[in-house]
Amino acid sequence: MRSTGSLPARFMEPIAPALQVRAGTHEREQRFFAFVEAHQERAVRLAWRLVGGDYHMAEDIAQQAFLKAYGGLHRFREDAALSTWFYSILVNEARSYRRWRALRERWHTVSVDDDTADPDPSADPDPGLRRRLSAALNRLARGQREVFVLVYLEGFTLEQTAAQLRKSLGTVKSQLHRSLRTLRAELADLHQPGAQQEKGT
Amino acid sequence: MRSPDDTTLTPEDRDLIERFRHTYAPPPPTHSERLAMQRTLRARLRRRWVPTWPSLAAAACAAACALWFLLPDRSVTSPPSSAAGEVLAAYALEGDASGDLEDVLPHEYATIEYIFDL
Repeated sequence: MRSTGSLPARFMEPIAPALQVRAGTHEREQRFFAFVEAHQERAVRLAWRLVGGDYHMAEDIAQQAFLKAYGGLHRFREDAALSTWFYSILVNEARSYRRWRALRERWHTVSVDDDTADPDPSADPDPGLRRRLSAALNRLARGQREVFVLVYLEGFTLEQTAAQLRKSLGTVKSQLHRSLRTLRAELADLHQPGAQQEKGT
Repeated sequence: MRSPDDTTLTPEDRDLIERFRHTYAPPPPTHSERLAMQRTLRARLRRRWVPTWPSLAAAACAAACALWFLLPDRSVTSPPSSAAGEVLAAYALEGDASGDLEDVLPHEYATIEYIFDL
Protein backbone atom coordinates (compact mmCIF):
# COMPACT_ATOMS: atom_id res chain seq x y z
CA MET A 1 0.00 0.00 0.00
CA ARG A 2 1.42 3.37 -0.96
CA SER A 3 1.94 5.68 1.92
CA THR A 4 1.83 9.47 1.96
CA GLY A 5 2.53 9.69 5.66
CA SER A 6 5.60 11.89 5.20
CA LEU A 7 3.61 14.78 3.74
CA PRO A 8 3.41 18.02 5.70
CA ALA A 9 0.22 18.30 7.70
CA ARG A 10 -1.03 21.29 5.75
CA PHE A 11 -1.27 19.14 2.63
CA MET A 12 -3.63 16.85 4.50
CA GLU A 13 -6.06 19.55 5.61
CA PRO A 14 -9.57 18.57 4.63
CA ILE A 15 -11.77 20.65 2.42
CA ALA A 16 -14.63 18.91 4.18
CA PRO A 17 -16.44 22.10 5.25
CA ALA A 18 -17.01 22.98 1.62
CA LEU A 19 -17.92 19.40 0.76
CA GLN A 20 -20.28 18.62 3.58
CA VAL A 21 -22.16 21.85 4.09
CA ARG A 22 -23.71 21.57 0.68
CA ALA A 23 -26.74 19.31 0.78
CA GLY A 24 -26.36 16.10 -1.19
CA THR A 25 -22.59 16.08 -1.34
CA HIS A 26 -22.26 13.66 1.54
CA GLU A 27 -24.78 11.36 -0.07
CA ARG A 28 -22.98 11.62 -3.39
CA GLU A 29 -19.76 10.67 -1.66
CA GLN A 30 -21.40 7.66 -0.04
CA ARG A 31 -22.70 6.48 -3.41
CA PHE A 32 -19.30 7.04 -4.91
CA PHE A 33 -17.61 4.89 -2.27
CA ALA A 34 -20.16 2.16 -2.81
CA PHE A 35 -19.09 2.24 -6.45
CA VAL A 36 -15.42 2.16 -5.36
CA GLU A 37 -16.04 -0.86 -3.18
CA ALA A 38 -17.77 -2.71 -5.99
CA HIS A 39 -15.09 -1.97 -8.58
CA GLN A 40 -11.80 -1.48 -6.77
CA GLU A 41 -10.51 -5.03 -7.09
CA ARG A 42 -11.26 -5.22 -10.78
CA ALA A 43 -9.88 -1.70 -11.32
CA VAL A 44 -6.55 -2.54 -9.70
CA ARG A 45 -6.34 -5.85 -11.55
CA LEU A 46 -7.10 -4.20 -14.89
CA ALA A 47 -4.52 -1.46 -14.24
CA TRP A 48 -2.01 -4.12 -13.17
CA ARG A 49 -2.54 -5.99 -16.43
CA LEU A 50 -2.35 -2.84 -18.53
CA VAL A 51 0.83 -1.45 -17.02
CA GLY A 52 2.67 -4.73 -16.89
CA GLY A 53 2.63 -6.07 -13.38
CA ASP A 54 3.58 -3.13 -11.15
CA TYR A 55 1.17 -3.56 -8.23
CA HIS A 56 1.76 -0.28 -6.42
CA MET A 57 1.54 1.69 -9.63
CA ALA A 58 -1.63 -0.20 -10.56
CA GLU A 59 -3.16 0.77 -7.24
CA ASP A 60 -2.12 4.38 -7.76
CA ILE A 61 -3.58 4.41 -11.27
CA ALA A 62 -6.86 2.98 -9.99
CA GLN A 63 -7.00 5.64 -7.29
CA GLN A 64 -6.28 8.41 -9.79
CA ALA A 65 -9.05 7.08 -12.01
CA PHE A 66 -11.50 7.01 -9.09
CA LEU A 67 -10.54 10.57 -8.13
CA LYS A 68 -10.93 11.81 -11.70
CA ALA A 69 -14.27 10.08 -11.99
CA TYR A 70 -15.43 11.71 -8.77
CA GLY A 71 -14.20 15.12 -9.92
CA GLY A 72 -15.91 14.73 -13.28
CA LEU A 73 -19.22 13.28 -12.11
CA HIS A 74 -21.01 16.44 -13.23
CA ARG A 75 -19.81 15.78 -16.78
CA PHE A 76 -21.02 12.21 -16.74
CA ARG A 77 -23.69 11.54 -19.36
CA GLU A 78 -26.51 9.37 -18.14
CA ASP A 79 -26.75 7.57 -21.46
CA ALA A 80 -23.41 5.89 -20.79
CA ALA A 81 -22.96 3.30 -18.08
CA LEU A 82 -21.06 4.69 -15.13
CA SER A 83 -18.72 1.72 -15.08
CA THR A 84 -17.95 2.05 -18.80
CA TRP A 85 -17.13 5.70 -18.28
CA PHE A 86 -14.96 4.93 -15.25
CA TYR A 87 -13.00 2.19 -17.02
CA SER A 88 -12.32 4.48 -19.98
CA ILE A 89 -10.74 6.92 -17.50
CA LEU A 90 -8.72 4.07 -16.03
CA VAL A 91 -7.44 2.96 -19.43
CA ASN A 92 -6.38 6.55 -20.14
CA GLU A 93 -4.52 6.74 -16.85
CA ALA A 94 -2.73 3.49 -17.63
CA ARG A 95 -1.76 4.84 -21.07
CA SER A 96 -0.34 8.00 -19.50
CA TYR A 97 1.70 5.94 -17.09
CA ARG A 98 3.08 3.74 -19.86
CA ARG A 99 4.02 6.83 -21.90
CA TRP A 100 5.81 8.29 -18.90
CA ARG A 101 7.59 5.02 -18.23
CA ALA A 102 8.70 4.79 -21.88
CA LEU A 103 10.15 8.31 -21.66
CA ARG A 104 11.88 7.52 -18.40
CA GLU A 105 13.30 4.38 -19.91
CA ARG A 106 14.62 6.30 -22.90
CA TRP A 107 16.23 9.04 -20.81
CA HIS A 108 17.55 7.05 -17.91
CA THR A 109 17.93 3.63 -19.48
CA VAL A 110 15.78 2.06 -16.77
CA SER A 111 14.62 -1.32 -17.94
CA VAL A 112 10.86 -1.90 -18.06
CA ASP A 113 11.52 -5.38 -16.76
CA ASP A 114 12.66 -3.80 -13.49
CA ASP A 115 9.13 -2.55 -13.00
CA THR A 116 7.43 -5.74 -13.99
CA ALA A 117 9.01 -7.81 -11.27
CA ASP A 118 6.52 -9.96 -9.42
CA PRO A 119 5.13 -8.10 -6.43
CA ASP A 120 4.99 -11.28 -4.42
CA PRO A 121 7.00 -14.00 -6.14
CA SER A 122 6.35 -16.47 -3.34
CA ALA A 123 2.62 -16.38 -4.09
CA ASP A 124 3.17 -17.12 -7.76
CA PRO A 125 3.40 -20.79 -8.71
CA ASP A 126 5.23 -20.03 -11.93
CA PRO A 127 6.98 -16.65 -12.04
CA GLY A 128 8.86 -17.64 -15.19
CA LEU A 129 5.65 -18.20 -17.13
CA ARG A 130 4.19 -14.98 -15.79
CA ARG A 131 7.24 -13.00 -16.93
CA ARG A 132 7.01 -14.63 -20.33
CA LEU A 133 3.33 -13.81 -20.74
CA SER A 134 4.00 -10.27 -19.56
CA ALA A 135 6.81 -9.80 -22.09
CA ALA A 136 4.66 -11.19 -24.92
CA LEU A 137 1.80 -8.88 -23.98
CA ASN A 138 4.12 -5.89 -23.73
CA ARG A 139 5.38 -6.48 -27.24
CA LEU A 140 1.87 -6.08 -28.67
CA ALA A 141 0.81 -2.75 -30.11
CA ARG A 142 -0.99 -0.60 -27.56
CA GLY A 143 -4.45 -1.01 -29.09
CA GLN A 144 -4.10 -4.77 -29.42
CA ARG A 145 -2.87 -5.12 -25.85
CA GLU A 146 -5.73 -3.05 -24.43
CA VAL A 147 -8.36 -4.93 -26.41
CA PHE A 148 -6.92 -8.31 -25.46
CA VAL A 149 -6.83 -7.43 -21.76
CA LEU A 150 -10.30 -5.89 -21.69
CA VAL A 151 -12.10 -8.60 -23.65
CA TYR A 152 -10.29 -11.84 -22.97
CA LEU A 153 -8.81 -11.23 -19.54
CA GLU A 154 -11.37 -8.93 -17.92
CA GLY A 155 -14.43 -10.27 -19.69
CA PHE A 156 -15.85 -7.02 -21.05
CA THR A 157 -18.07 -7.42 -24.10
CA LEU A 158 -16.94 -6.12 -27.47
CA GLU A 159 -19.50 -3.31 -27.24
CA GLN A 160 -18.31 -2.26 -23.78
CA THR A 161 -14.70 -2.37 -24.93
CA ALA A 162 -15.48 -0.28 -28.01
CA ALA A 163 -17.18 2.31 -25.79
CA GLN A 164 -14.35 2.34 -23.26
CA LEU A 165 -11.67 2.78 -25.91
CA ARG A 166 -13.85 5.04 -28.10
CA LYS A 167 -13.25 2.80 -31.09
CA SER A 168 -15.58 1.23 -33.60
CA LEU A 169 -16.74 -2.32 -33.09
CA GLY A 170 -14.95 -3.38 -36.28
CA THR A 171 -11.64 -1.95 -35.05
CA VAL A 172 -11.98 -3.77 -31.75
CA LYS A 173 -12.72 -7.06 -33.50
CA SER A 174 -9.77 -6.78 -35.87
CA GLN A 175 -7.37 -5.77 -33.08
CA LEU A 176 -8.60 -8.66 -30.99
CA HIS A 177 -7.99 -11.06 -33.84
CA ARG A 178 -4.51 -9.69 -34.52
CA SER A 179 -3.53 -9.75 -30.85
CA LEU A 180 -4.53 -13.38 -30.48
CA ARG A 181 -2.74 -14.36 -33.68
CA THR A 182 0.49 -12.66 -32.53
CA LEU A 183 0.36 -14.19 -29.04
CA ARG A 184 -0.43 -17.61 -30.45
CA ALA A 185 2.63 -17.43 -32.67
CA GLU A 186 4.87 -16.10 -29.93
CA LEU A 187 3.79 -18.62 -27.32
CA ALA A 188 3.33 -21.58 -29.66
CA ASP A 189 5.65 -23.78 -27.63
CA LEU A 190 3.22 -23.72 -24.69
CA HIS A 191 0.95 -26.01 -26.66
CA GLN A 192 3.62 -28.57 -27.42
CA PRO A 193 3.18 -32.00 -25.82
CA GLY A 194 4.42 -32.00 -22.26
CA ALA A 195 4.35 -28.23 -21.95
CA GLN A 196 1.23 -28.27 -19.78
CA GLN A 197 2.67 -30.73 -17.30
CA GLU A 198 5.94 -28.85 -17.30
CA LYS A 199 4.12 -25.65 -16.40
CA GLY A 200 2.07 -27.39 -13.74
CA THR A 201 -1.42 -26.63 -15.15
CA MET B 1 -15.57 -15.71 -21.33
CA ARG B 2 -18.17 -13.20 -22.34
CA SER B 3 -16.74 -12.43 -25.73
CA PRO B 4 -19.11 -13.17 -28.63
CA ASP B 5 -16.08 -14.41 -30.50
CA ASP B 6 -15.78 -17.38 -28.15
CA THR B 7 -17.30 -19.71 -30.72
CA THR B 8 -14.50 -18.86 -33.15
CA LEU B 9 -11.77 -19.74 -30.68
CA THR B 10 -9.85 -22.97 -31.07
CA PRO B 11 -9.11 -25.11 -28.00
CA GLU B 12 -5.50 -23.85 -28.16
CA ASP B 13 -6.72 -20.25 -28.12
CA ARG B 14 -8.91 -20.96 -25.12
CA ASP B 15 -6.04 -22.61 -23.34
CA LEU B 16 -3.78 -19.65 -24.04
CA ILE B 17 -6.36 -17.18 -22.76
CA GLU B 18 -6.93 -19.26 -19.63
CA ARG B 19 -3.21 -19.24 -18.93
CA PHE B 20 -3.21 -15.47 -19.21
CA ARG B 21 -6.25 -15.13 -16.98
CA HIS B 22 -4.82 -17.27 -14.21
CA THR B 23 -1.13 -16.51 -14.42
CA TYR B 24 -1.08 -12.88 -15.52
CA ALA B 25 -3.00 -11.42 -12.59
CA PRO B 26 -2.01 -9.85 -9.28
CA PRO B 27 -2.73 -11.71 -6.04
CA PRO B 28 -6.22 -10.79 -4.80
CA PRO B 29 -6.07 -8.04 -2.15
CA THR B 30 -6.78 -8.92 1.45
CA HIS B 31 -9.66 -7.31 3.30
CA SER B 32 -7.30 -4.96 5.13
CA GLU B 33 -5.63 -3.95 1.86
CA ARG B 34 -9.01 -3.12 0.38
CA LEU B 35 -9.90 -0.98 3.38
CA ALA B 36 -6.51 0.70 3.32
CA MET B 37 -6.99 1.70 -0.30
CA GLN B 38 -10.41 3.14 0.49
CA ARG B 39 -8.92 5.11 3.39
CA THR B 40 -6.19 6.48 1.15
CA LEU B 41 -8.77 7.37 -1.46
CA ARG B 42 -10.89 9.23 1.11
CA ALA B 43 -7.82 11.13 2.28
CA ARG B 44 -6.86 12.05 -1.29
CA LEU B 45 -10.41 13.15 -2.01
CA ARG B 46 -10.25 15.63 0.84
CA ARG B 47 -6.83 17.04 0.17
CA ARG B 48 -6.46 20.53 -1.22
CA TRP B 49 -3.64 19.48 -3.44
CA VAL B 50 -2.42 16.04 -4.33
CA PRO B 51 1.36 16.14 -4.77
CA THR B 52 1.73 13.75 -7.66
CA TRP B 53 4.95 13.63 -9.64
CA PRO B 54 3.70 15.79 -12.58
CA SER B 55 2.59 18.56 -10.25
CA LEU B 56 5.90 18.40 -8.38
CA ALA B 57 7.83 18.55 -11.68
CA ALA B 58 5.75 21.52 -12.85
CA ALA B 59 6.35 23.30 -9.54
CA ALA B 60 10.10 22.68 -9.81
CA CYS B 61 10.14 24.05 -13.39
CA ALA B 62 8.18 27.13 -12.33
CA ALA B 63 10.59 27.74 -9.44
CA ALA B 64 13.62 27.37 -11.72
CA CYS B 65 12.16 29.80 -14.27
CA ALA B 66 11.32 32.33 -11.55
CA LEU B 67 14.86 32.12 -10.16
CA TRP B 68 16.36 32.61 -13.60
CA PHE B 69 14.35 35.77 -14.19
CA LEU B 70 14.88 37.16 -10.71
CA LEU B 71 18.63 36.66 -10.47
CA PRO B 72 20.29 40.10 -11.00
CA ASP B 73 23.40 39.01 -12.84
CA ARG B 74 22.72 37.19 -16.05
CA SER B 75 26.18 38.06 -17.40
CA VAL B 76 26.53 38.77 -21.11
CA THR B 77 22.95 37.76 -21.88
CA SER B 78 21.66 40.95 -20.18
CA PRO B 79 21.43 44.17 -22.20
CA PRO B 80 24.18 46.79 -21.66
CA SER B 81 23.51 49.38 -18.97
CA SER B 82 22.41 52.86 -19.94
CA ALA B 83 25.87 54.25 -19.19
CA ALA B 84 27.40 51.75 -21.51
CA GLY B 85 24.72 52.61 -24.03
CA GLU B 86 25.78 56.24 -23.98
CA VAL B 87 29.41 55.36 -24.59
CA LEU B 88 28.33 52.99 -27.30
CA ALA B 89 26.42 55.84 -28.95
CA ALA B 90 29.57 57.95 -28.73
CA TYR B 91 31.47 55.15 -30.34
CA ALA B 92 28.95 54.99 -33.13
CA LEU B 93 29.11 58.77 -33.70
CA GLU B 94 32.79 59.47 -33.20
CA GLY B 95 34.32 56.24 -34.21
CA ASP B 96 36.35 55.45 -31.12
CA ALA B 97 35.40 55.67 -27.49
CA SER B 98 36.65 52.29 -26.48
CA GLY B 99 39.57 53.65 -24.47
CA ASP B 100 37.27 55.79 -22.28
CA LEU B 101 34.83 53.01 -21.81
CA GLU B 102 37.43 50.48 -20.86
CA ASP B 103 38.83 52.80 -18.21
CA VAL B 104 35.56 54.00 -16.73
CA LEU B 105 33.26 51.01 -17.10
CA PRO B 106 35.34 47.88 -17.45
CA HIS B 107 32.41 45.52 -16.95
CA GLU B 108 30.24 47.20 -19.57
CA TYR B 109 33.18 47.40 -21.93
CA ALA B 110 33.70 43.69 -21.57
CA THR B 111 30.03 43.16 -22.37
CA ILE B 112 30.16 45.36 -25.48
CA GLU B 113 33.44 43.85 -26.51
CA TYR B 114 31.86 40.44 -26.28
CA ILE B 115 28.74 41.40 -28.23
CA PHE B 116 30.39 43.46 -30.98
CA ASP B 117 33.71 41.67 -31.00
CA LEU B 118 35.70 44.91 -30.72
